[in-house]
Amino acid sequence: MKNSEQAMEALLAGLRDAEAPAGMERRILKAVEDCRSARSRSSWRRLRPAWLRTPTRPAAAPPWAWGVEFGFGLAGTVAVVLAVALAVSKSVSQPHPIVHGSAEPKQRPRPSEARAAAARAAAVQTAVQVAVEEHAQPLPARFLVGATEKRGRTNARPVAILSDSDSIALSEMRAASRPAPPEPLSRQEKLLLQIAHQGDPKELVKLDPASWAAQVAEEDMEFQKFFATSTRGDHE
Amino acid sequence: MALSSIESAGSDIDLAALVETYSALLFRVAHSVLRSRAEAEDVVQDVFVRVIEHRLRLLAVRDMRVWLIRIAWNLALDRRRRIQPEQFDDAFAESLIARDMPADEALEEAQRMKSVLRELERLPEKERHVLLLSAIGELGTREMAQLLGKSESAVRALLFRARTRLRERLEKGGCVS
Repeated sequence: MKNSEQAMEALLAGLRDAEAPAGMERRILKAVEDCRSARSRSSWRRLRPAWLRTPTRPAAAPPWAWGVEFGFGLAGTVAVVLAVALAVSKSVSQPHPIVHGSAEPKQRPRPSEARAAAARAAAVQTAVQVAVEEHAQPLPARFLVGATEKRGRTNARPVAILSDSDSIALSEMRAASRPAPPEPLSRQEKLLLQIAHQGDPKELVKLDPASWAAQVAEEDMEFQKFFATSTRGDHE
Repeated sequence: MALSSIESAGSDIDLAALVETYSALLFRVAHSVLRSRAEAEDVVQDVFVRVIEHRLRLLAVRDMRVWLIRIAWNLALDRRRRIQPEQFDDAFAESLIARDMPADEALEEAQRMKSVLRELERLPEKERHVLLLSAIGELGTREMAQLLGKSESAVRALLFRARTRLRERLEKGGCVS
C-alpha cells in the first residue's frame, strides 16, 4: 500500500516538476513572429473594410450596441453585393460592340466611333472619285467597300476595312503629278514662246506660208519698183 | 522581439507577457499527456499561434489562464492520437530516477515507474484526465471542472476514483513491491 502510493506520487511529482527546455520562450516568440509575418503577407485581410471584420463588443457599450453595429455592417454588406450584382447584370444585358463586318441593323455604334468612321468614309469616297476622274481607271473593289456600304448601313464601322497601308497607297495614287524638270529650249521653241507672248503681226504672219509668201512677193515688187524708178531717173 | 504590431492588431493582449507567464504551465499540461519535452514544446508553440489567429476574440475571453490551458490540453490530446506516447515512457521513467542511485536500484525504479505509467494509461479516460490535470499541481477543482466541462463535485469524485483504482491495480499487479 505504501509502496504503491509512493510510486504513484513519485510519478505525479515527476509530471508536476517537468521543466520546459531551455530557450523555449524565445523559440516560441520567434515562431509566433514568423507566423505573424506570414499572415501579414497575405494582405487580403487588410483590404477588407472595417465593417466586414469580425465585430468585437466594446466593454463600455451596452449589450444591444453590438447587435446594432453588426446589423448595420450586415446591411452594408448586402447592399454592396446587390449593387455589384446589378452592375454586372446591366453590363451583361448591354449589346457588345460590333466587330468586323457583322453589321446588325438594330445595333448602333457609339457616337464618337460613328463620327470618326463617317469622316474616314467621306474622305475615302472623295479621294476615290478624284482618282477615278483623273486616271479614268477603275479602282479595286476592296477600296470601294467602305464607301459603298456607308450609304446603306447605319453602322459605318466596316470602313475600317481600308487598312492604313491601303490608305497610304491610295493617297499616293491620287497625289498630283509633278512637272518635269526644266530643259533648255531649242531655237524654234524660243521663237514660238516669244511669238506667243508678244503677238507681233509680222511674226505671226511668218507662221502662215501663204501670208509669208504674199508678203515676200510684195516686198520684192516694192523693191523692183523702187530700183526701177530710181535707175530710170538716174539715167534720165 | 518585435511584438508590438501583434499587440496592436485588434487587441490589447501582450503576447510576450502571455508567453512568459503561461508557457511553463502550458508545457506541463502538454507534457503530462505526451510525456515528451519536444512534443510538449510544439504544443505550447501551437497554443500561441492559435492566440494570434484568434486575437480579435481575446477580449471576450473571461479567464485567459483556463482558455490557454484548454487549448493546450486539446492540442495535446490531438497529438497524442498520432504519436503514441508510450514510446516516450522509457525515457521519461529514467528521467525520474535519481542520478546518485545505484544502477541496479535505478533499473528497478525505472521498471516501477513504467508500470505505473502503464496502469495510468489503462485508467478510464475521464479518471485519467482528472488525475493528470491534478498532477500538474497548479489547477484547482474549479478550473479542472471548467476544462473538462463537469461540475466540481464530479471532478472530485473522478479524482478519488482514479487514485483508488490506480493504487489497487498497482498492488494487484504486483508491480510495486
